[in-house]
Amino acid sequence: MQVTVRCSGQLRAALGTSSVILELASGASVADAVAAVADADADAAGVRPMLLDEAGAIQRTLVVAVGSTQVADATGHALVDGDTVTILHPISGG
Amino acid sequence: MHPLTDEDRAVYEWQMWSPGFGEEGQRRLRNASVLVSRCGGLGSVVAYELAAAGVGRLILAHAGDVKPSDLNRQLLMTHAWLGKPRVESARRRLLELNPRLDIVAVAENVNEENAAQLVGQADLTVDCAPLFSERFAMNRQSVAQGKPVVECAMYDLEATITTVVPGKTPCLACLHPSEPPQWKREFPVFGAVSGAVGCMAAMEAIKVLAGFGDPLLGRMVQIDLRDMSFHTFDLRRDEQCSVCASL
Repeated sequence: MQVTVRCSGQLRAALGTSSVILELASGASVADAVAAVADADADAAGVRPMLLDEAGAIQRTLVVAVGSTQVADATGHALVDGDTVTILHPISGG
Repeated sequence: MHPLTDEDRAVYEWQMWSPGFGEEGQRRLRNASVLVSRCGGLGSVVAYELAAAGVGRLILAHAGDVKPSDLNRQLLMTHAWLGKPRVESARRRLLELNPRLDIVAVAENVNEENAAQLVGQADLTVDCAPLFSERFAMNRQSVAQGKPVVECAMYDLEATITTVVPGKTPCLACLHPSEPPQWKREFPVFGAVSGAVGCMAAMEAIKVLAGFGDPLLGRMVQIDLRDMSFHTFDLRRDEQCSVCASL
């Protein structure tokens, strides 16, 4: 299935793009999608630690949404074909 | 409650025509106090719009002196005031616009030591701080004191805005429990971006104070002026939040 992942803030700057289209196995979770973004651009400086902690879990500083709703359980939330995942990297510019 | 004067009615007539706002809304603004910290790209415009709208009292917290690199976006700072305290430049500019405004100018940034006292003076805070530590300090005090916060932040041509009502909506710590790894303090910024976002954040504050419209309670708008896209997300409270879970 195909899933679009939108990225913001300094994560977007590090990735060099505002969105990534992923091909994921049926039943993949939000956590799988985020991990795939981290793996997809392993050469991009600093992307992986922006997304995942040392244990491989999604950084708690991120707000992750599917469609227009923040996800409570990224591991348990199964995606469907055509979903859009948004990763809101925290920003504090004033 | 201070009643509206004839001068108030003359100045604010056009906005009092707005459905749901009216004279009662204006009276609420006239009697409201708002903390704006800091008065940089976002905060300058937030403060200016709140002064223009007739908020009675602004508490401005911003340390340091005006630098040349402030002048592309910090619209309360002027070339003539280079090298002098930012918060005094802000006070002067705001009083030129609205001499009826009561201003408390504090030449400090918000920190753990002064946050309780600064938040305590205001009915609402507009968080325009560039450091997460300042934002977290304001959030903790706002939750402790049960006061709303308009959270606005920007990066390059992007911005986010949400409004926090403690106990009812997610607080900042629900969304971001800690500073993100690798946050870079300095980033690209246009004054037109901070100005646009500052206007929207000011409108959020006006709606909350006056009690009309539909503020971003439990919702966050993400704005990208690079392609003029706006996305709104429903947010959730963190039941384990170290700041607001007990409310």
